[in-house]
Amino acid sequence: MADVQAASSQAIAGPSDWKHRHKHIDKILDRPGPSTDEAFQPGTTVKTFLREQCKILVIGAGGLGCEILANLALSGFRDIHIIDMDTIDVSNLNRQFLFRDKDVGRPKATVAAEFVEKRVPGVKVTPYHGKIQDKDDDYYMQFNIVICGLDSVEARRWMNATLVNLVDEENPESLKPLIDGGTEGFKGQARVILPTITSCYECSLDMLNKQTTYPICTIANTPRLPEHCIEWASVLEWPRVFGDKKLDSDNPDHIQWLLEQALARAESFNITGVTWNLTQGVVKNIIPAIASTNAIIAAACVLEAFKFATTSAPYLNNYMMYTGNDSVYTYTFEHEKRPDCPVCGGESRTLEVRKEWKLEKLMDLLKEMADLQISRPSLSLSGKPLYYQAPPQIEESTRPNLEKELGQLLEEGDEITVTDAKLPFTLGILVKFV
Amino acid sequence: MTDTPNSVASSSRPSAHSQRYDRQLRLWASSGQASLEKSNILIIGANSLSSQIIKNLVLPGVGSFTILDDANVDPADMGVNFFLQPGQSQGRSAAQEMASLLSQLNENVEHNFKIESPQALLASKPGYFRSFSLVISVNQPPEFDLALSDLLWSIEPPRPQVPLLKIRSSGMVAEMTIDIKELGIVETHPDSIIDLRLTNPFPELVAFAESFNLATTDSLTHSHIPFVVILLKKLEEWKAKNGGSPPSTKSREEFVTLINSSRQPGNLDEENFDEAIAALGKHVWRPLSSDHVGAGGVPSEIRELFKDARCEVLSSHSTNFWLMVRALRDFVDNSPTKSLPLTGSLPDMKSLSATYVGLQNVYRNKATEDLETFTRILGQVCVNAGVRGGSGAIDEDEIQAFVKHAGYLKLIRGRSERERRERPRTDAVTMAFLDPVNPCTFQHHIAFRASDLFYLKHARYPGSSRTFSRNLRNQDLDAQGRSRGSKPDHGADGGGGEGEGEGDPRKAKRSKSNESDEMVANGEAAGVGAGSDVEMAVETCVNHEGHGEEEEEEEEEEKEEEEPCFEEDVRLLAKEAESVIKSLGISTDGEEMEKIHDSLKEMVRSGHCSLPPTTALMGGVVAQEAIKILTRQYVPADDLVIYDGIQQALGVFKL
Repeated sequence: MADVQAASSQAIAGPSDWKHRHKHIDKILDRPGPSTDEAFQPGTTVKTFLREQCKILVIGAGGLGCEILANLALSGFRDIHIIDMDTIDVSNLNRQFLFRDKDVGRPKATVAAEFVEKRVPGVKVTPYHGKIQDKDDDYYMQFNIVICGLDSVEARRWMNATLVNLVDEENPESLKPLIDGGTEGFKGQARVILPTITSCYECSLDMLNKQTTYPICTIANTPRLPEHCIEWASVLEWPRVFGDKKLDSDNPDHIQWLLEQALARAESFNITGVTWNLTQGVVKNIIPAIASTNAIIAAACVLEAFKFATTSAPYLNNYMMYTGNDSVYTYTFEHEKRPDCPVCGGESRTLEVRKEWKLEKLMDLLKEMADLQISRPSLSLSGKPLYYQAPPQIEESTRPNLEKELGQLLEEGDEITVTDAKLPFTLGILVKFV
Repeated sequence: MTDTPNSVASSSRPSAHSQRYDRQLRLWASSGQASLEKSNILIIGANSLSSQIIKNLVLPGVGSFTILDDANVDPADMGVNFFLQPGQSQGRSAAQEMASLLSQLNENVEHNFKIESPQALLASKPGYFRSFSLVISVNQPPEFDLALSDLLWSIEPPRPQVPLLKIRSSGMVAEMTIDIKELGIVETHPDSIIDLRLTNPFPELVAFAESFNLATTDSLTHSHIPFVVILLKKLEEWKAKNGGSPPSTKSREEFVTLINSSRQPGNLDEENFDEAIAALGKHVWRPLSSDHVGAGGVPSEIRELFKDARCEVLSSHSTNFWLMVRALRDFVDNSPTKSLPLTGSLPDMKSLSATYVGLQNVYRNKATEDLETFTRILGQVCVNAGVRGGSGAIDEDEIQAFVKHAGYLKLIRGRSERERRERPRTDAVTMAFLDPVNPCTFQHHIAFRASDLFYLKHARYPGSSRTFSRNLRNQDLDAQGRSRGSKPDHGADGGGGEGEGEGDPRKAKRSKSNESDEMVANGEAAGVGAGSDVEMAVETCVNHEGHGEEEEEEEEEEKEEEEPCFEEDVRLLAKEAESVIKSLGISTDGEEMEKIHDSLKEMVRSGHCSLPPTTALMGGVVAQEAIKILTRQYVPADDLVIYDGIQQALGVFKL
């Protein structure tokens, strides 16, 4: 009986090690290459750190995350943590290869961790199904390296700001390399951020493509494209008909309703091209995603993590852009740190304004700044609200300020504090009248 | 901008199939997906690199794949191969294990394996290799790759050509060469296919513009005049004042002033004028200064196609691409303005709904008219060429896609492996070392080539033992008088789950040398974590090995497994590199040599090992190129791609 049990438990767990298991990777770890740093300690030292001590955190268990996890495990990382707040959808299965049809609806982090632990014996993958914001500084402090495979700008900004703020000059351990990957269709990028030392995510925010937005007056009055009709249905018709009921873009019945409204509107304006596919694409802001691009970007990220954990080769300094639609192309360059970066820069930012401008104009200006990416800023001066988006009472009491001229509200050299749901920090802006 | 009609079909809920593939259908559409699903791919070599490639082909749903390899699972490879299952896969056929585990990623894909030596099969049954839509050869000996390339290159129409991708990796570097005889691509997916013809308007467009009055006093009307109309009118006005000639690049500012002069004073809502000025570069200056699309001309790349022998001389074997190129040439010849057919796409612009739809119809009607003319001409071309199916030989959707992309067609005409080796393009090599923007990667190609020569002499890769090297190539070792491990008794085909559920019909016998590769007892099962127990386990294994029963054989094996001397291998490899450098015409006194020498050292250090991030990255690149070739969409690399993970750069060279 005991024998049977032993045998079956072994069959489930699988052998955790075998001769030649590390043969491939050890070749890189047993000897330096021509570009390897002098600090590299080949052999046992580096292997022990990689396989027994290094603790790595992966953010996102989606298209990039699945690739990153599997690849880290194969590369010899054995203490891997993964955070993801999503559950598995059928449209994930064309690339998120740790998931199967039977897993649809289950948390991504848990399923991914189970699969990798089964396939790569001896690896411990600790999942957390939830938000990155649920965790505090102590939690993030335990890791040696963080890799982000996210599709959200906001989450990246938060993670970036958190790791920059974690840096304590007295404690070298507090500096966590952040490796960030992102893809869209055949394009992607991988980058390495050494918080406070190299350019951070916030420094390069103006490189993001501007999201397509449709002016509300076009949607309401002069629709021309099928997209305008779909936006009309989701932004104007849905709240008008359903009041506070939230639109769920994952609910096919909701999409169906929007489609019907959009179709009717399109027909009345002789507009063609409204389809289910387009409706879903516009409402969910779907970004095309394929397995191959994810494999490329995730692999580049893991190789950088491997370099950090082993110093077997110099790490990327600091940005690699990839495009695969016309031949294959990478552009590798050093993105410069911004001295006035609101997260990692020391200098404060100055904004030139005119005294006769109204506060509303200043608000519009802030919203248009590509390096800020904010949509609903609240402004205050020395703790006193200039304009707050919420709560409703304060919004109402500060609204008249929007019509006031800046000369009435501010003085030269005043520092306005800007907050926004999308900003993981409060931003100070010095006023300069011109 | 979509032209899809509001039909019942397109407004119904998506099928399970479209839901699964939604994120990729938004890139290559159902036509590309259909091509993928029709394809059958052969992958030669069952190893960690090929498993990464196959994964990225199974996920998007190719029709079928076959893994060809006669080797059993190599314990070293199992340590870096995600599609082998430790505790289950060891001792079994690598091709079969991988095929089975990879098939779990997508039930729609047919999976096969063939347990036979690629070399032997190429000699005995060359026809086998010609029956696939694409062949991917992974970590195979260069002699084999060359023979395979020769075979596939010799295929002549009407048999469809079989593109060949050859891939290898070593540590943090990897390379792929693509053999494509010829690939005509229609859907190249340019950033935009908008062709407004402002500088060369057709009569219906002129008439449409004439119905507007820029001097209207009604502010709502004025601020909704489409920018296309503003520009057409202003170009006319300019020409009237300047003896019929259009504005030149020198008079840019004056032309902008002329446009601004029609703004309505005090009207703050005139984004249409902003749009007009913003559109000048793309839709006025560029068309005026070149013969490009937009001016109603024919781009030089397309003119080249018109002069091609395949366009001149058609036959019943001509591909659809060339039949349509010929029809395009005839279309342009017949066009009064010598223009390509109009795409009919219109960007969004500030205007009233009815105005926009009206303008859109002007473009669309003209595009439909051009499409009809083109289709008629194409029918005649097909009949004259004697194509089966006559004037209706080509599908309507295919014609439509072609006409829309007529200004953006791409022809890839590759070189064979033999041409590359015997007559390398030395000018490309010189250029390869002179990239002003990105890190140089070409030195690694030289290192790979030198490494091949090294193997021929020393029966191993530089930096690696004989056993390790042979396992990398999954080579048929019987030919060299040694058996690496268990071999199935006979060659076998399998697939589609054929072997599943009936145990393992070809359960391999284990030979002596494999026994030492046996799994070491599991640390976890004993109730302890990984870590130091792992080391203990390895130690046990080493000790055990020392007390083998047949020590002679062990000694022999040790010799085969002996790790070579690093410095000596670097020296030997550098010697081999000399002839490669000479054959590529590289000057030996520049910075090139330093790069090459560093690459050789790195090659010896890594000893052709499989590093998971490198194989994963290459797996992505190879699958992506395969998908581009199979769907005939987007533009594949031509023809050598080199990845350097140390510098994180990919280089493309045409050797």
